[in-house]
Amino acid sequence: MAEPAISPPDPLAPPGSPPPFGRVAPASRTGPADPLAPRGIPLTGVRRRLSRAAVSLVALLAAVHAAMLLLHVASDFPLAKRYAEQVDWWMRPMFPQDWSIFAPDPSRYNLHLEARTRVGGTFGPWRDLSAYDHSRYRGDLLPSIEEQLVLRRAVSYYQASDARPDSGGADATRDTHTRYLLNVVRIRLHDMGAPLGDAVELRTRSTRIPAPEQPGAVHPPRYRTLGIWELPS
Amino acid sequence: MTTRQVWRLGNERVHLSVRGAGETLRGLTLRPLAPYSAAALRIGLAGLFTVHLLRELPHAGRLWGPDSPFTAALFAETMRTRGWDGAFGWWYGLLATDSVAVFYGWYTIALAVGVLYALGWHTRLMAVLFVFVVVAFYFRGCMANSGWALLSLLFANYLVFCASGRHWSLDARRRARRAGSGGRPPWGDETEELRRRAVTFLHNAGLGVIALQVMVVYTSAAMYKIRGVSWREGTAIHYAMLSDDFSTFPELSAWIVSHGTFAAFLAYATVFSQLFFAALVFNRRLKYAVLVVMLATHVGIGVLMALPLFSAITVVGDLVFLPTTFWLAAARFVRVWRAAPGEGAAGPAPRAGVEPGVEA
Repeated sequence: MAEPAISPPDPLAPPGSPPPFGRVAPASRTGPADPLAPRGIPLTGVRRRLSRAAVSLVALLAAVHAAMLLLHVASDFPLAKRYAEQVDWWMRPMFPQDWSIFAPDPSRYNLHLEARTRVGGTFGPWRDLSAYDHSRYRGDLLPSIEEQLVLRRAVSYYQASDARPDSGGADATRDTHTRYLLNVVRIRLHDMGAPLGDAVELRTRSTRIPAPEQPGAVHPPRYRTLGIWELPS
Repeated sequence: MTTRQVWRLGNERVHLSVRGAGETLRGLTLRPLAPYSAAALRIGLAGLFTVHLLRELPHAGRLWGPDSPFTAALFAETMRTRGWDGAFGWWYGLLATDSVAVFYGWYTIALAVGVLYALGWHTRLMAVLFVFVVVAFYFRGCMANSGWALLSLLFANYLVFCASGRHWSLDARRRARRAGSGGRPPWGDETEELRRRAVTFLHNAGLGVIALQVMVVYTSAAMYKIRGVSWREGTAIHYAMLSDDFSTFPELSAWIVSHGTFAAFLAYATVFSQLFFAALVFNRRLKYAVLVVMLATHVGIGVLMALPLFSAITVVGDLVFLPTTFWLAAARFVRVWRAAPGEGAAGPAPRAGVEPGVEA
């Protein structure tokens, strides 16, 4: 394998066709010869057939995956709707696609989760858990997802499953998401040094972000109570 | 022009394009495309994963471990509801343990795999092990997965099929050292040729799917955005910058918001660069323009919006579109820069594995 690689015949792409990527170029532009690249030895007999079979199989798999990927992201496309089950089977859970970050619109509200706990029969003051998380990652160029993402995601999972009609499997999901949110809240309260008590009440506070036309505007926050939960001691 | 002439011309074209397609296919079995991009992808992906695990080390127990608010019991329930408890259930639930020792054992293994994969030590084996650990973290952390988690899982999957260890790797270094002393493969030259062609074609298919995936990310992000009013009005950046949840430096974000025209310009630049990315990236010159815009966008997102890993992995994904000529020029530049008298010692050392000249 010491001899220099025989450069394969120039790949002869038809002129004018758009180059794919990392263009196949004259040898001077492809860098040092790759000692592991095929040497262009002609294949005969069974190996020729095997080579064709392997290339066809890989090409087929790549094409199928490409098609599945496109159908999965274009889920409103009629063809994608008809084959939704097959597409899901192929793509989930190993090829997740969710690229809707800040789309269609970034939120016009700042949503905070607030909690207060009941100690000895009376509820203490409201505590802003979101603000606590914010203060932990501000100024940190590499924030931990524990501080930046976990609470926010727990609230949005809870809200998403809470909005669904109570029926069948949705109930179980809702229950899971509620218990998860309560666990997250309990950890936050513990970190903030708040007494846990025997019950916790949660509410969200959403504040409208002032529009560009009225930068100084102050909008009163809107509260929504999520509920009161007894905490096992 | 008679119908007959048109027919004949059409026929010739068809023959030409069929032959052209056949030859392109043949080229794809004989020459691995963009091997430097594959190496850059591997180093970027595994490097970021390692950085991620090191960064989250103080929080690891709460994110994926026994202290997680997403307890092992809740996780098991979710696995059942989402239908993940099938044949691969043991793999998806690998980290769901109440044992601190087992959890940190896996954590250490994942760190080691990340480092070895970035360095390119037995690259193909490490690529498979890397998917193994990335998947375990992805599923255990399913309640708090960001764009970073999605993209790193996807790239890890696709990179298994690519020959990412040909350059800038310990494997390449070892091969260069052994060059000349190697014998012939025991299975004969022709079988070896067959194996190499299969590997090459697989590599090219894998890179092609990565390129498609990157285009899908940008295009579908843009398609979502153009449905939104604020992106059309150019006020989207205003609201994004004033969001409490995404501001590392609120003062800096407020400064951008106070320059309304600039913020609107950023919003339009974001949408249009994403929308036209897939088309522009095919052009040899415009490709650099759109990649630079993407780089700038993601530096902005990473610094201002507290999403550094997501930004970084997207930039790494963009690298798939850089041609070998670019990487060779970059390697030359680094070599010259390091050799420059007095500069070499003072300059920051290049990352391990980004060692040019090994394959020369």
